[in-house]
Amino acid sequence: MEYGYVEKMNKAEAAKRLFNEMLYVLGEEELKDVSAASILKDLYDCHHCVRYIAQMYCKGIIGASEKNAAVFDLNENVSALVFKEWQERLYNKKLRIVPKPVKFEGVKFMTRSELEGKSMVNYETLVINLGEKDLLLNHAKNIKSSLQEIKLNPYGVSDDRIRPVILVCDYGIKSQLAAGILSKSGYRDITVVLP
Amino acid sequence: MRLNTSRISPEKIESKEYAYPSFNDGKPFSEKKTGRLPAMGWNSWNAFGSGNTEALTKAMADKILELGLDKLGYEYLVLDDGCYKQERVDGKLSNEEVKFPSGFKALADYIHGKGLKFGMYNDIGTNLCAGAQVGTCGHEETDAKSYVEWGIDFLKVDNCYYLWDNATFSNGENARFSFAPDIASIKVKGDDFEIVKEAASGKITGQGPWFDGKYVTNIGTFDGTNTGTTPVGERSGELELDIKIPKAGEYSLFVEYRSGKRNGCGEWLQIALGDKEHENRIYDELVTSSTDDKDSILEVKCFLKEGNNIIRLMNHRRQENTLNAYATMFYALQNAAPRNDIQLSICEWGKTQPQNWGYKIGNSWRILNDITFCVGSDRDFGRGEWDNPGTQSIVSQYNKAVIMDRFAGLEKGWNDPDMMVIGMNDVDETMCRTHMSMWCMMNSPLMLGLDLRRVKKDDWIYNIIANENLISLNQDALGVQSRRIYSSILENEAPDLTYITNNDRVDILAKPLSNGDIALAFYNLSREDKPESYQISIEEIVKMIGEEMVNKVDWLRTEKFVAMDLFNDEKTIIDEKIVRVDGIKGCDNVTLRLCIA
Repeated sequence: MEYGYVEKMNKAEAAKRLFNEMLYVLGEEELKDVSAASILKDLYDCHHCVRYIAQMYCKGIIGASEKNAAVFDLNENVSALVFKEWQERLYNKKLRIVPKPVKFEGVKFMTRSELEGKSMVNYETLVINLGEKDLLLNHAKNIKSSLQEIKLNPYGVSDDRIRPVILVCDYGIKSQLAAGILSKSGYRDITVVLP
Repeated sequence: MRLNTSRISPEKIESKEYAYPSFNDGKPFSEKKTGRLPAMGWNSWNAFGSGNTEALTKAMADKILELGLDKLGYEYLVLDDGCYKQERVDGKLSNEEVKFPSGFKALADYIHGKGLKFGMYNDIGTNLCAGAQVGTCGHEETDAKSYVEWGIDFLKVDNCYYLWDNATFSNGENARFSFAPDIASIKVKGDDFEIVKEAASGKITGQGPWFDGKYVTNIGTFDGTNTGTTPVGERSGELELDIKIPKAGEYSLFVEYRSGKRNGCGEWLQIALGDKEHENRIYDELVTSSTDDKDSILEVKCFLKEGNNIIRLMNHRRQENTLNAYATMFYALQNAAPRNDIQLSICEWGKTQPQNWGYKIGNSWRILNDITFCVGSDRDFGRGEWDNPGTQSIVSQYNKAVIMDRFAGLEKGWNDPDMMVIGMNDVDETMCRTHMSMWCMMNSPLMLGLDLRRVKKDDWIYNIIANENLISLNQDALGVQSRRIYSSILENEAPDLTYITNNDRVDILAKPLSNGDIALAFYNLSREDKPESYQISIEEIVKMIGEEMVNKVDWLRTEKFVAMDLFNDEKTIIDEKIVRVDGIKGCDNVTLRLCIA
């Protein structure tokens, strides 16, 4: 079992070694609920490291990237000093900074007129048109779908459950039903457009 | 035929066999052995991760014999990642001396001495997934010779650190090889002729590309690693423009584009004239990088015929490059041991939609990222899950594999929803029973992934993995993967083709068998009990799988048949033409073998 700092260590390797130390030296149990780690867009980039990263992140031992709270940055190089700081958190729970799960504020509602003409940013926002009268927003990814498609494959909407999703239909009913399905499937930023 | 892949650049596609239009021809490469049933055995990864050792592997071999699993068909013992030295020795693969002190040949001899078969692991990239710098890229010829010397019977090949795609641990900017640049317009210019076509006026064919107001973007192949997208249908897209040319001759084709190095927008462009069946590729390489977010122009000279000319802008390199990489390993093994029996297990996690091309050289192809990320070790059984929004669960893998039956078969190979998690923590007996039934019905490779030292003959784990009734479905000579013929959540959609990730449902699968019997399984994917009745008629079954059955007419005519429960051997005579199950507990299944009375 590998523990401790090594030269040219990256964050994923650090997570693995601190995890081993936690489990096999300290005998501390793993968390069952690591859903807070789902905010990390690169969590599954290393399928060997998911468990270590999720545990170290959710226990507040290793945080997300300083540049982007939704990225772990598993390839980032780790200095001996930084590793020591994390090791101290491992041994002293009071020093841990446990992340707050991304809160679901509830489905938001906006009217069509409030949104028309608005420009989104960098195609991050997904606009899903479920009805006949489509709403197309600038710099958003506008797609057509159906309530049944969302019901059958809620995870097909986006791999990124933090991504803003705007649901549009003709009377607001399908959008609200779709919002319910998506919120149960873990999507965190959902807006229903009312007619 | 190249015996090593390049680490400098993606290879030129010289043979049409390696190009996208050939993927649908159903023809494996001529050297590939067909007619093989799914492999059965044990793989070290879920059980021990990279902590596997020679001693543990021998212990597993001993347990397989002690439990009589070899007599049931479990024959391959596969060393997954974590067995090599971190670097090559004199350019060759070498055993990690602490964990595998006797070397691989000695271990292979031990395993062969038990009447079992020996498998190993490598990767088409520069490194293995756990980091060792011994990926086979550029070393296929040398590595194949080593593998043959050691006496391997099975090779699992992963996709980490792959150079020509943004695979796991690869540079994210490698996406530039797998996507075309965003296309704004094309201009065709000749003597006294010039025409400009905006990208918006073209036709997007296939799936994936979309128009963002100025560019057609996302020209490439869907990444199939995660649970979001279906494996069925066109998994890539192109931009097609139709140009009417007044006179045959040489023209200049100018493509206005904006390149990038990210998912959806890359730097590798393929330009073909003509439709897929008759294409002539006139450009197939990197474009000059766009700078400062400004559009760039590419000029290509080509001969166009008088009249309508189809010009296709595309990038199928994600699939073509990966096929090339795996084929290079395949041919290296062929060269080292002609007509060998080595099974090739393609493990690129479904990223490049291997169901389209994997059959050409592989015996199985992974369809998704891993079934668990909580693998075990010597003191820890690891953890499996029943369901999860990501890939790491029994149901996630099932949901995708269940609609991939048409990609599999004796002449092709098998969809691989990963090694089993039976015997890992957090999956109870009910879940494991259903898991085994699913993998057997779907003709998945049956790779055990547990520490067999925890199993005793006739304990619940043994009773599941040694269930001969279920194994006989997986190993049935007809070699037909089950088809989903009903799902309770569907309205009018086709049950065999619709991708469903909403697990609040009951599915019914049917599988034709070589002696004329039918295997029928009811699966409750939900954790909640379903007290309702679920039924299916013989007529509906025959309608859905009849073309694969050896005796469909007999089934349509029969007035009576016997249904045997494949877990408790209970037989029921049914004299109506319907099979009905009254209620199914959460995560549970009813799996039956039907035979005409």
